[in-house]
Amino acid sequence: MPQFVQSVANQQTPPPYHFPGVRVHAFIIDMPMDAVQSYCDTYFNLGDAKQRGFVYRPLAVSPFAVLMVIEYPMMINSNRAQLGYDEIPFADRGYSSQNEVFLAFPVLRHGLTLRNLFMDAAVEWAMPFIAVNNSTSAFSGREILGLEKLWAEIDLGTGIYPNGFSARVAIPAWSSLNPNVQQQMLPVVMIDTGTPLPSVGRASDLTSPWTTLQSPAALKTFEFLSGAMDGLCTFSNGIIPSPMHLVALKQFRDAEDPHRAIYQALVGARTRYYDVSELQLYNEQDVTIMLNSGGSFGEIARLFARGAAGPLVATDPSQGDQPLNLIAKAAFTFRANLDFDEMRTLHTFPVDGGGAVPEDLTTPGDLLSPWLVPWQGFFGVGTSGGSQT
Amino acid sequence: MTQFIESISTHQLLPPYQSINSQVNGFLFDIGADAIAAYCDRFLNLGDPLERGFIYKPLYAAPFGLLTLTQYPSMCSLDRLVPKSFGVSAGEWDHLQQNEFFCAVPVYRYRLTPANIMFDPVIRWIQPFIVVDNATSAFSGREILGLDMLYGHIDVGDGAKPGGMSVNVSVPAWETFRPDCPQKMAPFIEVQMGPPLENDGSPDSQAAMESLSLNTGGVIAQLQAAIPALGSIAHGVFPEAMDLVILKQFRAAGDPYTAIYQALVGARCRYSEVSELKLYDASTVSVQFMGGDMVDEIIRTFLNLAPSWPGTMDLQPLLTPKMAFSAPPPPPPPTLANIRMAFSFKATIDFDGIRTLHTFRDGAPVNV
Repeated sequence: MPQFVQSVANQQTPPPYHFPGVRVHAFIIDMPMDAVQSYCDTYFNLGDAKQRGFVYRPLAVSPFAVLMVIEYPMMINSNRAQLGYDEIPFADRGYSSQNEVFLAFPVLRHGLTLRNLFMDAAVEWAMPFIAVNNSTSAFSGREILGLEKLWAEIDLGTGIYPNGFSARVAIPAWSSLNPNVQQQMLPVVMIDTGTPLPSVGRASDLTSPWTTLQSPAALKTFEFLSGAMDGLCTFSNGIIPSPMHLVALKQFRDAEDPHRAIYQALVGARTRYYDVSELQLYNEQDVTIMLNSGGSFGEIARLFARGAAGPLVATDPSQGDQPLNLIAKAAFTFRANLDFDEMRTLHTFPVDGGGAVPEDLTTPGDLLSPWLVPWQGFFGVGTSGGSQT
Repeated sequence: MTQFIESISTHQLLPPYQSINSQVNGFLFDIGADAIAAYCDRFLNLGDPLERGFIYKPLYAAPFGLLTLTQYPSMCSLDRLVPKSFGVSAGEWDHLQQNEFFCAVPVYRYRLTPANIMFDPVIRWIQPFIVVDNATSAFSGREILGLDMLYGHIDVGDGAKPGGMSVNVSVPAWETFRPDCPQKMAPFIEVQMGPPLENDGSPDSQAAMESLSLNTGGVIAQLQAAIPALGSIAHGVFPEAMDLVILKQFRAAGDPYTAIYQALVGARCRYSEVSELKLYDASTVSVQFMGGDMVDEIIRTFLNLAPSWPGTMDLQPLLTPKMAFSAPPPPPPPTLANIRMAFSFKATIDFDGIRTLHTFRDGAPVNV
C-alpha cells in the first residue's frame, strides 16, 4: 500500500490513545432484536453472504443498548511513530480533552461455514450514533476508524439535584425536510438524573434505592457484561464491558459520483476500561432522556425509538419537533482509565471500478475470534479468509 | 457500482454546491516559489514521474498566493438524489451558512514525455490550507473531495479603522509542542484592514487610486503574463474559475501510516454575477499568522514565510520532547504576510466539475 502523505494541516491524530481519569455516565435502554438485525443487515452484512463468509446478528441474551456520556479530561495520543518531514511525533505534541455521547449495542458475529462458525465468532459493539465536541477527535474517528462521529456542542452539568447529572447535546441539523430550511444548531439529546443512590428517595420505596438491581433487564445486562469482561476491577461488579470490541463500517465516497463508494470495510478497535472507581448508581426512575425526533433527526430517532415506551412519535417531519422520551432500565456512573487500541481491518468489501488499494492484498482480514488469538497458528487456526474477496 | 451506504451520521453535503450572494475578500501576497515546489513534490508528484506522466511545478514568474475569506450566507447542495430519497422534489437541498478562509496558489501541471520533457502546461490551483467554521462542510470537503479542511472559528467584525474590517481565525492547536500542553482554540490568522478606496473625485481619493495603480501594476502584469486565462475580477488578479487539484487520501485503520486510497481529485470553483467590487490600499491591510508551534509548522511547511522565531529555522530542539518541569518558551511573535493587493466583491459561487484525475496504487499509478 502507498505511504500516507503526512500533512501538518490535516487535523488528525492517529491511534492508539490513552485516556486517564474519564468519567462515564451510562444509561441502559431497550433495543429490540429487529432494530439490531436491521442495523446489522444495512451496515455490516453487505454483499453476498457466501462470499463474505460471516454474518452479524443481534445478541439474543442482551436486547439492550447503552447510551454513554464520557468526559475525557485528558486524551493522550500514545503514538510515538516518527512522521518524517521533520515533524513532531503525535505523542509529543500535547494532549486534548473532549466530551462524547454515544449509543452502543452488542452484536454477535459468526462464520457461515462449519470451519469458521466458531473461529470467527465474536461479540462486538456497534455505535450507530456518536457525537464529540472536539473536531480533531471527530476527524480522526471518521477518517481512520470509520466511526461516524458527529461534531456537537455537549454541555454537561449537575442538573437540579445535588450531585446529579445533566447533559445537553446539540448538533448542526435541519429542523425539517423543507428544501429551503437553513441548518442551525439544534438539541438532539437531553439527559437528566437525580442524585446518585442511596438517594433521598424521590421514587417510591418499593423501587428505590435498589430498583436498578431488581430490574430483570438490568440484571440480565449486568450478568452478560460480567461474563464478557476481562480482568475488570471487581469494584465495578461487572457492569462495564471491558474490553469492548467495536465494529464500524468504514467507507468513503467517490468524488465524481458521491453516491458510490470507493472503499468499504469493517474496522475493529478495542476500548479497555481499568482502574474503575467511584461507581455510583442512579435511580433509573429519576432519569429522563429526551431525544429530538424532528427534521433531520428522524433517522436517529427511529433507531433510538425502539427503546422508547409507547409508539414512536414524530419521525414524520410534518408532525414537527416533538421530543421522544427514552426509558432508562438502569443508570450508573464511574471513573476509570480507558485505552483505545488494536485497530484493525476486519474485512474489506470489494468495490467496483477504481477504488482503494485493498488492504487484504498484503494483510489478511482479521475476523479471528478474540478468544482464539493466543492460539493463532496452532492446528491451522487462522482467519477464515473472509476478507480474501 | 458499489453503493455508498447512506446514514444521517455521515452528515455530509453532497456536491455540486452553489452559494449566491457570497462575500469574497481577497489578499494577494508574496509566497516563496521554493515552498510551492516542495508542496507539489510532497503532495502531488507522487510515485515514478514517467509512470505518472505528469508533474506539477510552481509559477516561478508569479510567486503569489491568494488568501481568501469567503462568507457563504446560504450554501446548498444541488444533488438531486438525496432529496428524492426523502420523497422531496427539490433542486436545492441542505442549506447552510459558513465562513471559509483559505490560501490558494496557482501551479502549472505539465505532461511528461518518456524522455522527461515537460509540455502542455495548464494552470491548476492548490489549497495548502483551508479553514471552515461549519462541521458539515468540513466533513464533506475532507471525506468527499480530500481537502484537508481545518475546523475552526472565523469571526468577522468591524476593523480598528472606521469602515474597516477585522477577521480572526482560530483553530484547535497546541501552542507549544510538549506532552503537557493542552489543545485549545488558538489564534491562527488575524486580519485588519481599513475602508475600501473610493474615487469620489477628491484630491485624496485621486491620489490613493493613482498610488494603487502604481503599486499593483507590476503585480497584475506578472500575474496576467503567467495566467493568461485570468478573469476580469479584481483587475484581473482573481480567477473566474479556479480549477483545483487535491490529494485525496485515507489512512488504513491497522497501519495509519499507509493509505488505503490515494488519488488526485480535480474540482472547479466558479465565480459569476460579480458585483460590488472594492479595492483597498494594501498598506492599510495587515494579515498576521499568529505564533505557536502548530501554526508555525503550518506556515513553515506550506508558505515558507519569514521565520518568526528561532525554532522555525532550527527544528532539532523541537524533535526532543520538552518535559513538564521545564518552563514553556514565550509565545513567538506573529508572522506578517506581505500583502500586495486587497479587494472584495460579491458573487455567486458554484463548486462542481469534480472528477478523479489520477489514482495512485501501491506506488504504481493507475489512471481512471
